[in-house]
Amino acid sequence: MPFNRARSGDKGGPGTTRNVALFTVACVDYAIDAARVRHLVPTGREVGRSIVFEGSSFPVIDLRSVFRLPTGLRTGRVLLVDDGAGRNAALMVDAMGMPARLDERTLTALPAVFRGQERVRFEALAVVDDRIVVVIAPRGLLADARPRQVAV
Amino acid sequence: MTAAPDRRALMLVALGNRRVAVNGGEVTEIARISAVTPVPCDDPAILGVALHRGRIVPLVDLRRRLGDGATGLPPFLCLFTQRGGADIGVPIDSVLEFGPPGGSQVPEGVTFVDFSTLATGDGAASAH
Repeated sequence: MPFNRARSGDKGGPGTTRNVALFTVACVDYAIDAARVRHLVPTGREVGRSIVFEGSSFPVIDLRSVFRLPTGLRTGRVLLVDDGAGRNAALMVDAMGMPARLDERTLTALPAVFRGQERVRFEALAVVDDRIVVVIAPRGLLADARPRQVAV
Repeated sequence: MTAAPDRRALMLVALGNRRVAVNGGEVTEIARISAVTPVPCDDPAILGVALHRGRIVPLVDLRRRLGDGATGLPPFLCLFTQRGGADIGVPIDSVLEFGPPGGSQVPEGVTFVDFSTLATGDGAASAH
């Protein structure tokens, strides 16, 4: 399973929780497994096509572009992530939110009407503070969003 | 509003300049939706998801499915149906009639929408 899981000890319940980082793109809230986040690039740092961090290269991926949304102002944040399977990416997002814990019981599978690439990119939907959050599937997103490398 | 027990009854709703008939027995509720969360997806007719009665429900833009443009921003009235245990919401302008004369007969000039194929985009057919 791609997500970092922990047994929740509070309330005495048997539920499993996921530690996630929350961010926004075009006013929509997204969550990504906190274990997949390697670094948050300080604001104001110029980014090129890729960012090198601790010896690893993180190709920059503008999520507005991947999601086919209007280009936003370059005042957002860059989140360095890996997919746990060898791929890295520097995700350009609009803003970061607070870390959160998602209770497994609150997760909703992506409804069946979603039949396209979104099924690869997103794993589930959740509700955090009465707001719907789209839960990223890191492997799917990074595999889908990165330019294909062709062996020659 | 709750569903009628008579599954043969049609519900007529207004959608722009169009009158649309749906199987009233498949309508689980009609309620006002005040917020929609867009989910980036390949199907432009999917408006996103909304929180309704504590559940996350996808909303399908019937106007776009019918080629009548696009639904505006919420709030809007929404018709809810359930297919295969999953809810789907459809924004509408208003409910015109429930159980019109003729029972399951689709009136002249009314577009019938089959909920069973609504999600896949081929659920609308003009009635004569």
